[in-house]
Amino acid sequence: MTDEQFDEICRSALAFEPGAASAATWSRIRPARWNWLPTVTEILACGCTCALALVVVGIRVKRNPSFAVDSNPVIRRAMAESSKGLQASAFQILDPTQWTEGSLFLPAELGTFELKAR
Amino acid sequence: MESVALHPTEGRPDYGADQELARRCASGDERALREVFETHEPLLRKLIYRYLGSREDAEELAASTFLRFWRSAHRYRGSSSLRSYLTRIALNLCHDAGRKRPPLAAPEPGVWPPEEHPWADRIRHGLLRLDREDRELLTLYYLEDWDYNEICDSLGIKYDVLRTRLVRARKKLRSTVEENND
Repeated sequence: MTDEQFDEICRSALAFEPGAASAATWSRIRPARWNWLPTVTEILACGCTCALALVVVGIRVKRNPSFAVDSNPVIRRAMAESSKGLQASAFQILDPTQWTEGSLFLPAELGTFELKAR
Repeated sequence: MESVALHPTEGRPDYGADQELARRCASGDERALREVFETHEPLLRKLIYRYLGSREDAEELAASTFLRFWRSAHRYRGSSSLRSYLTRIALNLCHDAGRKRPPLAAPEPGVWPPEEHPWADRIRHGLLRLDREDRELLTLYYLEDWDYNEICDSLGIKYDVLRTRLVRARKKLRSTVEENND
């Protein structure tokens, strides 16, 4: 038997009429809106990339001397190293020209200091 | 001299139409997606059925091939036919499926012609017993209407390699079939 004859037998042996494309399969796989959304893997990859970028930017900013912030000497003196933190809030004096003197009190455990405006 | 009925064609065919179709698919054009599905689904189902021997797998993996294509259509550059591109996806899925479970010892019954060659059944069994490379190659070779470019593109090999491997794979299949004939 020649190779060509063998090929012919193989072709007829493996012949398979698949029929038309199935409408049921199409309706199952047709692209719905969610098909175009990113997959979980893609979301995770994107999240990791963004986190890494933020870390890199953070490190660079921290190492940049122009971003160094000195602590306020007034606050430092007032705290007298008795505490590691201070919660502060901003307030506005509407008409300070009417004031001759003002005081600012801190909680007892931090001590008290007075701020005078002249 | 062993022969293979494959001949290189002159130059590379132009796959511009396929590229345009893939571009429309990538942009979410449902009509283009349906056109690709209706044109290629039967062939892929046939290919996968021949490769794995299971009708259920053939339907499932053909559907998965298109789902994967929907997502990667923007990567198709038109350097091979769309049919080769889809075939490559389908063969990768077949390979993954083959790793998860052992191959069938015999193909599921199909609708075969009533008067078959006595070797026909042994050929179908023999094909399933070949290793992955030989099985892929012969499955594509015995598909109708395939030219050498498409087989080379689908398998990512050159024509000379294709010829050599084809002769070797056919020899293996033939010896399997003839052994069982004794």
